[in-house]
Amino acid sequence: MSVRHMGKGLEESIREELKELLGDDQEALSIALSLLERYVQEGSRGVRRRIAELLEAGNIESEATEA
Amino acid sequence: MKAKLRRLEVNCFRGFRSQRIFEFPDGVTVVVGPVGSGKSSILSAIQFALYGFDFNTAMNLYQRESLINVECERAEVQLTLEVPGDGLYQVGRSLDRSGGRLRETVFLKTPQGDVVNGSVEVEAIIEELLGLDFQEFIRSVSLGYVLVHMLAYGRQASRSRALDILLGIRSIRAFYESLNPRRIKKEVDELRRNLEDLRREYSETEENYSRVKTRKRELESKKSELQKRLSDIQGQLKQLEEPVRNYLDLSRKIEDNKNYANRLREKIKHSPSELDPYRIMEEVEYVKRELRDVFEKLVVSQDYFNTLEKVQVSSENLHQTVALLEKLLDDAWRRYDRVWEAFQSSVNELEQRRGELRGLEKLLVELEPIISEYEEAEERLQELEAKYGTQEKLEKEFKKIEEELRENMKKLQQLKSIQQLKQSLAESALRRTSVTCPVCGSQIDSSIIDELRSELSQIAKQVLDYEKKIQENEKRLKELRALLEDIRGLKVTLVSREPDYDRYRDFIQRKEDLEEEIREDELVIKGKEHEYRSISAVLTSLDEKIGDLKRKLNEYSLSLEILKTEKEIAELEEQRKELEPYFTQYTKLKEEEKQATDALTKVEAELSALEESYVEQHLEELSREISGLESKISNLENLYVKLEKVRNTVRQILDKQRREKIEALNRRINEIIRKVYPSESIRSVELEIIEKYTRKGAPPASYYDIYVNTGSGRYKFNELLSDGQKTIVILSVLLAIYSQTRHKAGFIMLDEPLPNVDDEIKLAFLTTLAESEDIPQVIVTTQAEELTTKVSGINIIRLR
Repeated sequence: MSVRHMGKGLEESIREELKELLGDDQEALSIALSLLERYVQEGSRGVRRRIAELLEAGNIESEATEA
Repeated sequence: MKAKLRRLEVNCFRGFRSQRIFEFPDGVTVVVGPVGSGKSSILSAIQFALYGFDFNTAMNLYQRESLINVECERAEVQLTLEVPGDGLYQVGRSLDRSGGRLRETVFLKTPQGDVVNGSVEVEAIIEELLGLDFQEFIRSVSLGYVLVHMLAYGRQASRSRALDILLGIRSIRAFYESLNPRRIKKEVDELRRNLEDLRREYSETEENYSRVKTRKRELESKKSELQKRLSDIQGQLKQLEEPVRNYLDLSRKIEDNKNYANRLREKIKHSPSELDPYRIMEEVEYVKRELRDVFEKLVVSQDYFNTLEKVQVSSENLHQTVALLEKLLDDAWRRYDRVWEAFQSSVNELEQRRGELRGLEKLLVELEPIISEYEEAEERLQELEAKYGTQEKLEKEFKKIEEELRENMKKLQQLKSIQQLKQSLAESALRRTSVTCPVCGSQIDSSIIDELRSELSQIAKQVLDYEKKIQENEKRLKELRALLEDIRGLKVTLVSREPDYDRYRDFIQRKEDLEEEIREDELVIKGKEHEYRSISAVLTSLDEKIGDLKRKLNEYSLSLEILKTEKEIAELEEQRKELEPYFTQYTKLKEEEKQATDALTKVEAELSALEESYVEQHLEELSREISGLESKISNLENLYVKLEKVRNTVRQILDKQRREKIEALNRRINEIIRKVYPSESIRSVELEIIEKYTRKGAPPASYYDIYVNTGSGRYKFNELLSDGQKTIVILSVLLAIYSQTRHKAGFIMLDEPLPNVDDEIKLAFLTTLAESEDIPQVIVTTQAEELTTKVSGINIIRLR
């Protein structure tokens, strides 16, 4: 059993804000949403891991496609 | 409709060692008890029943296992919620640590009687019922004393942190701060350095490529020169091929002949002087003489002597002569074998005689004891007869003494009778004066007593004499009897052993005869054996001699062959000498050809190594690597830009949410205060955001201050207000946060809020506020037990 690191209402409001503010940049939005999801599930450590994964892949295009 | 708490049942949960049940009616419920009585555990149990965590375990301040009472293996909590218009929901949750592993079981029973199991399913229903997840629940409905304390009495930073938590801003800020692109920047810098290295290598390779081209032209020229030189040498070599081939043929023949001569020499074992034909002839003559002597000793027919006489030894017929002598020697051996066979028959006869002699000796040995017994008996008999006389004489003496003994015994008997009679008469006469003799009738009186006594004395003397004679007779008879028994026994022995004695004497005679014969035969055989053995030795010696002669003759032939071969070698060497200059020139040219070929191979190898395609390929590989790396850097730079963009966007969201939440919160606080505290001393309360730049390049840190407008001015929250006013403000803030969050919870839980202020004011304010704000249930914990007597209209849960 794991604890969420952010309330659902707050997560939802941030998700909506991100979609609104990054709507013209789908790559950045995809990264932002994946990072938010990892934060909610694993906290700051999850975000650091996600950034490491993106770095490892080294290809933002393919990561965006996967997302 | 908002959900309300109705009943809580705990067993072995935190401070509760046994089962406890708590009821929660509408209105304000105060949980009263001293430190450690379990006030906070009740709020913790409600959090756990609903979400599986309490504030402390969710923040990782404690492990979930610590929720089980230290004296128990299993903790159980059951909470009943009422949703007006729907019914009662019952949620039960337990933790079990038996078996070394922590296990959780959870169920939820609906008003319709359905039972849902599993933490995910139950949590989903709870979130639906309350409209809150755990994070939202602990920052708006179930407020711990730490947060409230930080809000009321903390410094600016602590108060700001508490407000951030309560408003949910802290999660957004933590999310923002975790979006750190430094690592990508570092990676990009590293890749840029690698790219620089690769570009440098590419440039160096290009320069190298140019040098390779120059060197290749030089080598091509050198290769052409070497090929021309090789062609010249090979032309000259072709002209010399014929004489060199002849030279090599001659050399091979010379070598073959030398090898042949050496092999022949190896076969010759005798010295040259031993192979002299005249010396060999002398040795043949010697063999001839010896053979003649042997023929004489073996007494062969005259034909052999004649054949031997005809043999004429010369250097021309040595092989034939030796062959003839060898044949004669074979005949001599055959003759010798026959003679030796006859000799062996004589030896066998002699051996038979020896066998007979051994048989006789064995019989004689067997008869020895009988003969010894016989001779001893004979000797003993002679001794006895010499000493005691013959058997006849001893038997006569025995009979005579036997007769004397009978006579003496008879006389002794008579004398003893007379002696007894006279003794009797004398004794009677002495007793009765006179007595008549019963034999003769004469009268005997005492006057003749003396006479009788004299007679009796004489008779006694005679008795003694006869007794002595009888003893001597008996002794002698005993001696004679023994002697006669000995003599008779000895004679019986002699008679019984006499046949064996006679046989023994015959065997002795035969033995002596055989020994004589054997001695004579042995002398003869020994002489013959010596003679035959000497003949055999001579024949053997002649065998060896003839064998040696044959070898010498063979080696003599080989030595002639060697001389012939050496002559051929000398002739071949003479021919070869004429071809020597051609061969020397050919060898020199061959060496030059080798050197030129080696140089050409080296040039070709270097040319091969300098193949341009290799360098070109390397340049292409470097180019591809540079291109790949540039692409990667571009991608990572793009990622960095995107991440920066995301970070800035989250920052915008953070600022916007904070601003909006604070604006809404300010409105709500003032509504609450105006409703429950219509005093002019607090006209309005205002939360203000203050941003401070602490680090260059970093976003500003946000702080909050609470300002209060009174009739006389605007002051900081903690500068002017009394404790009671502060309580009103803080509780207003908390309830504003509660009401600002969208949810369906009809209760608020405050764990020892503002412990330092007057509880009566606090409770009165909360009661009024709950009613005005339509909060069906307020649950407050406190240590102030006296409240139960001072405040009316509230529900009390008393703990000890």
